[in-house]
Amino acid sequence: MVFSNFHIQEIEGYYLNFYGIKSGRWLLLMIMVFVWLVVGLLGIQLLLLLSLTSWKYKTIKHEQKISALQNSLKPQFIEYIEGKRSSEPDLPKSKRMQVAVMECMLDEFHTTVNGKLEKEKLNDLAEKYLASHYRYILKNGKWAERINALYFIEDFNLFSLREDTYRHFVKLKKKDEEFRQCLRTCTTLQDERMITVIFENNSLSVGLLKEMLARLNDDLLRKTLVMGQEREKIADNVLFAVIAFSGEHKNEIFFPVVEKRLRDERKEVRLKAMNSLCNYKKISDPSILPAFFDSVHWEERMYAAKLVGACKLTKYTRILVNLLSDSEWWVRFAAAENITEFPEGETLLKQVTFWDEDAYSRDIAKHVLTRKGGETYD
Amino acid sequence: MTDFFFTRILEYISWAIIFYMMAAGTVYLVLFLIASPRISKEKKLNRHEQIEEMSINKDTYPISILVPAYNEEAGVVSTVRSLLALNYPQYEIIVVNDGSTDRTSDKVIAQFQMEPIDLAIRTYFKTGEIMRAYRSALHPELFLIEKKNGGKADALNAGINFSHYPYFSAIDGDSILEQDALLKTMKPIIDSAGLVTATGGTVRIANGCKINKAVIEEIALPRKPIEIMQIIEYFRAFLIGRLGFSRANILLIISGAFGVFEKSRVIKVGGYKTDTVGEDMELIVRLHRSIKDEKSKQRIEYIQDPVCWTEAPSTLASLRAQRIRWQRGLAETLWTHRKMLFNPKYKGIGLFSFPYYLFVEMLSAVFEVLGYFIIVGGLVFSFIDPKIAGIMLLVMVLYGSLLSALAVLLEEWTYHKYPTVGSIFVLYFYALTETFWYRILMNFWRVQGLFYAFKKKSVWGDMERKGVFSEE
Repeated sequence: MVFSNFHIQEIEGYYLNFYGIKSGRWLLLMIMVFVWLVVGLLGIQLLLLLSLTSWKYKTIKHEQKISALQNSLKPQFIEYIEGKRSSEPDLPKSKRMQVAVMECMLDEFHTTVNGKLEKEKLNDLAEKYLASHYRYILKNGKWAERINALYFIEDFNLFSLREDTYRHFVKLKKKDEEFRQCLRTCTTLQDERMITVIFENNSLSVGLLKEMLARLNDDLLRKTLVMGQEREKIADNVLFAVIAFSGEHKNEIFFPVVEKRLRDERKEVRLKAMNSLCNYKKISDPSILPAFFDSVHWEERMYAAKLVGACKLTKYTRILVNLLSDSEWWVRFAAAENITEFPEGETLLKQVTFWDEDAYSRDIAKHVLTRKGGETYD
Repeated sequence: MTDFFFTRILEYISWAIIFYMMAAGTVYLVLFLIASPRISKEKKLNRHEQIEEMSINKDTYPISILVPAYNEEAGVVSTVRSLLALNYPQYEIIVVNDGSTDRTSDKVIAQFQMEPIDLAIRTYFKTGEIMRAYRSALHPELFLIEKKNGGKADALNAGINFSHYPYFSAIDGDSILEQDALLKTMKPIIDSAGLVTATGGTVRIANGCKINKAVIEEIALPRKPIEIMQIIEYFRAFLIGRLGFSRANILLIISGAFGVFEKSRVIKVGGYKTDTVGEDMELIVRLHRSIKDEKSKQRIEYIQDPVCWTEAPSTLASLRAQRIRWQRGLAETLWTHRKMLFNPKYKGIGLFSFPYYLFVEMLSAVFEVLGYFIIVGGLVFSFIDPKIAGIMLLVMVLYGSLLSALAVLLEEWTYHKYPTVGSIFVLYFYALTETFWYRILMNFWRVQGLFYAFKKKSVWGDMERKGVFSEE
């Protein structure tokens, strides 16, 4: 102890003499507070050190044990999944260890196994060892554990948990990572109720909506289209998601819907539709394009140039060359970049670098001819 | 009589300093209490599953990675190599050689077979003249531009002019990124559908680690005490300080070593400021200012994942230069944006972040140095009771080390990157010694930095490199 009774009396005496009785007592009190603070801080620190080291020791041991178990069981499970072994290898008796080992192992197999029979076996193993654990976690687990469970329910396609996952989704109030992952998992499990969620939940981001659409099978996608057509008004985020998703996945079901949107009165919708058609790399009525080349909006001129390149519409090559002199840098760049999509594109750009009267055209042509990598995005 | 009053005044000043330091420490403790629930909540989250889909998702925005380099011949190749190995769907790497006097360009050109290209750059900002540009024949997404020396901010602005993607990331030439770093850092931006305009991740110190071809193969503690102390300091700054501030959307710093930014927002605010050495912090403050001026809902976020490894100064001279520069940068930024201080228009930034950075981060060094003089002078000339001085010293040591110990705890809780039990003892031991030497050095250098803040000149932070990432 830093201060004995003798010391305290000594200090008291000093301060009483020095400052007078009142302030002397106050100072003494302060000193005592600080003494206890020192003791407390030291105690907390020692406690932290002890608990941290024992926790770390246990964690390292546990990790080593799981790793050793995995190493010994992996070859046997591979044989079992490939059908070279008739019975399942023996797992440790502890449920906790079983889940830990199987989760790691199945996750690894999930990315490497391709055959249909193997996938089915993998799914059976996941149902047998993990489904009931995840069901329990969804009800009683902590936030991070629940999200991890949702990730694996999705990865292992645990259809037996469809109802549990949906019930969990209904309970969620906060729109955080758990909410988003729950939506992804529900759509992966082909829950039809998600179509209504897509149309009625206006706060979902375009990206998340696209992820959900990408998980639905053709049957549910058709139902989504029908529901969309039946509705009088569709929220912008849903519309943008459908348009973008369709092009990225070259989805034929939605192609007419996307193309129709080129005539939408809203600029943003038209731009999204043009971008989507660039991904489709086709357009059934190119005669609509000249109107965009003269648009007052530079974004429309830029996407028109991109669409010409993506659909290889050689009859508009001259217009692209004219766009090399556009007032907007991005339009010039898109025009130059898309000229290179044509068989004679590079030759044409080289001619521009030598002969064109416009300095902008010459510069951008040189730039695209030499720069190449890393396409533009704006 | 005069002696009595002098002694008494000195003792009151001493108490005031002690209480000030306790208050500053309490703020840190509050930040810990804000940060730890988030860390506790996320500690078991499966980080790999979290970003798995992003690596193939078309909504993962393409990004331009800018590597400003000035005399970085020791580490630039490793940095670029680590960037080429990133797990990210679409990105370009732009090395901006800002008039280096060493072989920075030669190394990049030789290593990656760079070929000259013609340029038609879109100029958002005026920068030092760009002399040449190259593209790699091996990796079409890798570019090198050579410009006249203009400072780091100028190099970054030139990189923004050249870049083609809607987001850019700035990374120091002496740092390497983990493979999933960009995905992790972009996740808040994608999840928020663009509401997050800038993000930064945790920067770790690579000194002591085993590095092979720009990949951290084995994480270990360095041997030099000043390097170990910086590790503890980084834990404390990132896991407690930044996370605490980020949770309240009042984060004023994204490390210059690595951050991701929405290009259009940065262009809107005028890019990096070239006449300050704290261009990274200054940009974040300006971004906040523009967000608040526009009454926008955009946010600046920090993610606690360790994503970037950097080489820490390993000599006293280079550490001193670094800390003087940091303090200068802090002072310059606070001065430039002094109108935000206590300004309710800027909400948490004006009412909490600014006062915190002014009174705790900037002026605490002045108070502490003053405290050293009073304590030492008081003891030597018997103005202060040695017992009071002793207790104060113990409180300072234990309180300071408790905060460091809490930071070590948070690291162990979440990432436990250091693989042995022994590493905890080493970190704890050094945390205990911090007040006796490291903190004193830092405080003197920070006070020096304040004096230097009056000399305005944008320079690169010269740092003697051991080249921990060097492949030679």
